[in-house]
Amino acid sequence: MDTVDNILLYTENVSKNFQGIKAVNNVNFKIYKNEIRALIGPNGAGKTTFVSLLCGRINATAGRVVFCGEDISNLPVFERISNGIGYTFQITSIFFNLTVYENVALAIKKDSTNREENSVSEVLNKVGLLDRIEQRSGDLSYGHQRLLELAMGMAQKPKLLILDEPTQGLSDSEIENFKKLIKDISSSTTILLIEHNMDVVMSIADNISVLHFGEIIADGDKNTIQNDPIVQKAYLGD
Amino acid sequence: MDLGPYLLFASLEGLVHAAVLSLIALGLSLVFGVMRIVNVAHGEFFMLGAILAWWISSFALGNAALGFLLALLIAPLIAGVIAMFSDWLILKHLKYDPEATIIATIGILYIIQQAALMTFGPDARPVEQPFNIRLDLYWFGFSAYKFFVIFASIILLLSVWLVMAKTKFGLLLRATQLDSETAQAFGIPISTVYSLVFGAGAAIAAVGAVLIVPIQQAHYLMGGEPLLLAFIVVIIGGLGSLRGTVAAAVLIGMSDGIISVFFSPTLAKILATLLVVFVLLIRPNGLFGTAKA
Amino acid sequence: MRKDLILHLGALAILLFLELFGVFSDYHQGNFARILVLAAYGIGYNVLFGYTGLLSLGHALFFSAGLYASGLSIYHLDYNVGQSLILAICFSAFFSLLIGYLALRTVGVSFMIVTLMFSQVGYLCILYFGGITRGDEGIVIQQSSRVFLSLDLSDPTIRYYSALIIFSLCLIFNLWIAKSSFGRVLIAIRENSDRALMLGYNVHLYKLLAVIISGTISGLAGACYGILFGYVGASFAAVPYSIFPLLWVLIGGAGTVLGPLVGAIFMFYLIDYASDITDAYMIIVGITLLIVTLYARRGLLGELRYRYFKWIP
Repeated sequence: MDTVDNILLYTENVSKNFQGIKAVNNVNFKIYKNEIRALIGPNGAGKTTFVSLLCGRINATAGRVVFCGEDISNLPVFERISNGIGYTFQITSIFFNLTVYENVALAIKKDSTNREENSVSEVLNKVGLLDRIEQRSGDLSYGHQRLLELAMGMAQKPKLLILDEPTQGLSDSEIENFKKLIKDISSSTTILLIEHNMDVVMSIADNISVLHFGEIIADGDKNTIQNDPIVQKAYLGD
Repeated sequence: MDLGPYLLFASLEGLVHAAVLSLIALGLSLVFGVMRIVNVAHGEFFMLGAILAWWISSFALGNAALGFLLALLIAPLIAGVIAMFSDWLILKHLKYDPEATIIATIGILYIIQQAALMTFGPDARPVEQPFNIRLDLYWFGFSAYKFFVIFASIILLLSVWLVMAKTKFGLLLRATQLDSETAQAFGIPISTVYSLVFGAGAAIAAVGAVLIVPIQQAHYLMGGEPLLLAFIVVIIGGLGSLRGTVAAAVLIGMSDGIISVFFSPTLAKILATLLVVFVLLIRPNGLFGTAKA
Repeated sequence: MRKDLILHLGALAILLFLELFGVFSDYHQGNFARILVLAAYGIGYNVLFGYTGLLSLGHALFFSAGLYASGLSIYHLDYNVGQSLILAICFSAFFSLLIGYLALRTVGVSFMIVTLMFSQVGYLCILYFGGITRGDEGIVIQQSSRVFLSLDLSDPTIRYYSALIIFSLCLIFNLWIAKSSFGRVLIAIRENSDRALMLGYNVHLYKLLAVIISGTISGLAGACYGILFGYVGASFAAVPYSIFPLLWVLIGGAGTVLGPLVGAIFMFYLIDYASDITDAYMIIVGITLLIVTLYARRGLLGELRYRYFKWIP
């Protein structure tokens, strides 16, 4: 169903030029409420650039981004975030010198009904880091740091959570854990997932968008994408 | 005297200061450009050159020309060695972290400056010019030595340019400046290059000091103003750009000279400093914007 | 009572009792009066450097802005102490807003240089407008003008208590900020400003507020210094007075509330001792900066906090 109500975010002819190189080229992208959408594509396809255009880390050269019916194209990053877009970094970017508690506490949306300690514990409990709540986050293992990154995303209670290669560098069991968590979050949040790991994509994504040389070359549910010859030629076949 | 000759005189004086300023700024720019650090103690190495020039020439027992020659050869060497030593002892351990390096070079500034006070004393001391010829320029007499200063500076600037552009060492320097990580991967001994550059930067400034000290006196506080002006030149002229540095030095040196003569030295400095602030504010990439594309 | 409150109120109590029970000789009483006002300046500096992570090399600009605002208004306009303080605070706040707005257009090394350059302009302007400021020579503020609520501020004991009050106010304020959510965001910005931005915080606004708070406290300290010690001079706008607060904060511990006091006490007496030995006592500043930068970056309280007492704010 393509009704306007169902669309959480869409872009209209969004482009980004870097001194002549079209990193993102006239992209029309739609994401629906409560879906898990995977954004895949070969290295250099422009995935991180595109997603940066959505959350405002980079300014688009042309086109519009519309979020919850509002044109956010000219809003600065922090405003888009506080309007309900969450973002986790591809390369872990937590507050390494602060404790796990402090990291999550900074991410929490101010909620008058729930005390901060409770909100933080809730989130940490879900990801399984509650026992490390007082630990300096820089001392955590890589896998736990990725979990913390995810927890911070969750703590923001965003409408749209953008995960930039969340499972990169994780062990198989850690990846299984992540898959479960993401599935869990998706009941209350829309997820946009950039991933290289096809197993993860195929098991949890509802729909897949394929980016290639800055353009969306295919868009649909996983079966359609898997069988699409254009996509196979460009990218799949892992 | 009508304006013309007066302006010519002020211009020639300005050119002398611009010449020395370009040397000081070149030293700073090299260090900025290759090592990506700000050396706040740079002015003190200049001062060191002047103090050493006075000390060395005192050994020449009255022969001013000999004293000058000795000073020109030895003072920059000593200044360079002291600089390399501080790089080895201090800056390397800080891994050239920008913030820590600035703080550490402030420390080095005070140590060199106060050491000079302790040994040289608080007074300004003159150094004799190596030769005392006056040229008759129709409207006024002008010291030939000042022309020599301009000439010598040009020679040194050209030499540095030659080294940078035509020698293997210059190639190493330019490679390190462009991309230090790749340079390292290619086996360029970054650590040694950095030490040499830091030493060279100080030595070039010291040469400028040896040249100017017969005109101006040696004083332990003489490093502050050249530092400020050198900063201004480097920021306006662009980092790592030899041409930009020289152009900006001429511009700043001459206008500082002219405004100082016609208005007030303090006002000249206020305007120059505000100009730097302005440049830094409007340049979107900040300090290192031009060096890394 | 919370541990940190005990620590800080305890420190203030010690400073109070040392004077109350006559432990201080006249010499040390005078020293500590100076140290306390300078430590207040250090607290102002610490808000920007220690908590927000912005290294300013030109804070003497803010210190002297307050110093001259109050000093000139007393000297030329016959303001009383109270009026001049209010003027100094308002002027410092406005001035920091202006400078902060401009300087924050740069980052990193450029920010350091821009702040250094701004303070140079300030210093040069004080010299240039010597007609009003009496330049290098400075202005002596007469004893008769240094009266507040009928108390003669030039009296050493009253002066000490005044300095202690000013310092206490700044200390408590800083403690409050450090524990507040505003302070936590400043720390987040220092630790990883990109991340803070991506959590929805208006980082630029927070930085600007940090500059304003920092500049205003520094200006207040400057104003009090002129009033309490009766002298307003260009030397307070020169580079050393920008380096001192950096030094105090580094030695005591950047990002700790009591750090500036610890650093100020240490450096004051170190320089005092050194100046008895040589005219070149500023060499001590150089050596200390090097040692701290190389081996003790966290400072005394910072190191204590890192190793043992994680609750120190």
